[in-house]
Amino acid sequence: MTHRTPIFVAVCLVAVSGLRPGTPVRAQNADYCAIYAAAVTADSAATVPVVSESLLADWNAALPCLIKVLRSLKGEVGPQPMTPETRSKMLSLTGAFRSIILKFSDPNDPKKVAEMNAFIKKFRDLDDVDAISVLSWGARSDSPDIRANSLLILGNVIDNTTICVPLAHLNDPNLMKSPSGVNGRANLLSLLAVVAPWAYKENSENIARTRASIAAQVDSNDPNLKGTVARLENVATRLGNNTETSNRSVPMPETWRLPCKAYVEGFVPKLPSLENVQY
Amino acid sequence: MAAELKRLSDQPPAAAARSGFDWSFIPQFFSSGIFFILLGMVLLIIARNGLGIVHTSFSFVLVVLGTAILLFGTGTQGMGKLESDAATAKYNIAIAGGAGVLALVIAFGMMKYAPQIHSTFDIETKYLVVRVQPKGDGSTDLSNYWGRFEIDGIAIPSARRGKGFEVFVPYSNGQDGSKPVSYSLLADPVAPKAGLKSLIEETVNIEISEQNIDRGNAGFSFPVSRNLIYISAKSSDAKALSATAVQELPVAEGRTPPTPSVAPILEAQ
Repeated sequence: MTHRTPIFVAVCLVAVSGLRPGTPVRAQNADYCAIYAAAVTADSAATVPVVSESLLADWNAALPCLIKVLRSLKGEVGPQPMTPETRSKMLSLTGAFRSIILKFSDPNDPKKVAEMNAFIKKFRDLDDVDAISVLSWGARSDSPDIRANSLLILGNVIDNTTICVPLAHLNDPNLMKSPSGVNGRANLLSLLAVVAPWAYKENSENIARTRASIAAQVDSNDPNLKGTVARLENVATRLGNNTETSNRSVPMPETWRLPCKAYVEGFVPKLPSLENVQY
Repeated sequence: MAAELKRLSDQPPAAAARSGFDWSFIPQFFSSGIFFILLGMVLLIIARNGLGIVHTSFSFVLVVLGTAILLFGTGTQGMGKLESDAATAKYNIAIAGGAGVLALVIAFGMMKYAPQIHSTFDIETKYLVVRVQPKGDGSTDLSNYWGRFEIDGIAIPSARRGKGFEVFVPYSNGQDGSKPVSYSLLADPVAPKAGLKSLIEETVNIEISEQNIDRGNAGFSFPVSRNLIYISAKSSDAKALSATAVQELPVAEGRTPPTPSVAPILEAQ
C-alpha cells in the first residue's frame, strides 16, 4: 500500500486545488493577479488583447485583480496623452469589465439582476478615488471605445464616495481644451446625474455649483451641444429629487470626505479654484 | 548527232516539266517571306488562344517569337549588307537583321519593364488576399464567429487565420477599382459571448489598385492587400445602461430614499 500513497496524495492535491479547465486557480499569493496583468498587456502596442472568458468566468475572483490593475494605471493615465501601450491596456481592461457587466445586464432576469447588484456592491467595496480617477480620464479620453467602456463601468459603480472625482474633472479647465472635451464633459455630467438624487450634503452642493458653472459656459442654442444641454437639465431635475428628508442634508462621513478632499487638492493639473469642489 | 543535241537543247521547259512533278517549290516556299509571315501569325494566334490558360511567361515567349518571325517574313531580315571584293578573300559583313535588332530591343524591354509585360499578358483571375481582423476595442473576438464573404451574392473563398480571416477577392489585371465585399459573421449560438453581436453584417469596398497591393508580401497570383478590414463585434450598451439608470444608491440611516422623476442620460458621447 505504501507505494500508492504518493499517487493518492497527488490526486487529492489536484482535486482540492479545484483544477478545472477554464477556471483560474485561486492561489493565495500575490502572483495570482499577475495572470490578469498579463492578460491585458499586449505583445505589441498595435494590438489590443481581449481578456479570455475563462479568466472572467468567476467574476468574484477576477474583480479584485482587475481593480488592482486599474489602480496601477494611475501614473500612466492622466493629463498627458496615452501611450499606445497604455491605450491598449485601457481598452483591454475596460473591455473586461464591460464583458462582466453585460453578462448580467438583463433586467428581466432576477438571477442576473442579483448578480449585477452583487458585482456593483463588490466593486464599490474595492474601488477608491484612484481607480475611479483612471476611469474618469478614460471617460474623457480621445478614444470612443475607452470613453464608452469607462462610462458604462462608472455609470454602474459611481457613488457618494467617488463622485468627487468626476466633479474635479469637470472643473478642470483643460477638459475643454482637449479634442474630445465636449464628449468627455457630457460623459462626466451623466455621472453627476446618477448620484444626484442620493448625493450627500457636500456632494449635492458641489454638483449644483459645478452644474451651474458649466451651464453658464454653454450656449443652449448651439446644436453641437445638445447632448450637454440635455444632461445639464437632467442633472438639475434629478438633483431636485434629492430632498431634505433624503441624503441632501447629511454630511459625508470623514472616511469618504477626506480622500475626496485630498484628491481635489492634489488634482493634476492643479485646479485654478476649489470653489466648486469643497470637501 | 549534232543536230539531235541541238533539238534537245532547244526543247521548251514545259515539255521537261511534263515528264514529272516538280517538288522544287517546297523548299522555295519554306524559305519564302510568306511562309515566315504565316508562321508568325500562327504563333500569335496560339499565343492569343493561350492567354489566361497557360502561364504568362509562355504567352510572352510565343508573342515575341511570332512577332519576330512575322517581321522576318516581311523582308526586314536585312537592314543592310556590305560586300567587299578584296583580292584574296571576300568579306560579307551583314549587319544584324531586323529580327535580331527586335530581339535585342525586346530583351532590354524584358528587363526594364518586367512587371508591365507580366501584367499585359496576365489576364487569368487572381485573388487579392484581404485580411480581416478584430477591431482593437478590447472586446471584439472573432474566434467565436463563422464567416461568410460574398460579392454581389456570390460567395468568395475565405479562411480563418489567427484571430481573424483571410478573404480572397477575385480580380483580373486592368480591373482597377473597388469591389463590394459583403460579410456575414454568425456567432456560435452554443456559446455566445456577452457584449458581442450575434450577427455582424456589413459591406465594405475593397480597392483593387497597384497602390493597395503589398508586392513585397506575396507572389503575383495571390497579392496581399495593404488595407485590412477591421470588424467591431461590440453590441450596443443600451440594455446595460438602461439597467444602470434604474439602480438605487444607499441612503443614510433614518433617511427616505428619493424617487427620481427621470432616469439619468447615460449614452456615451
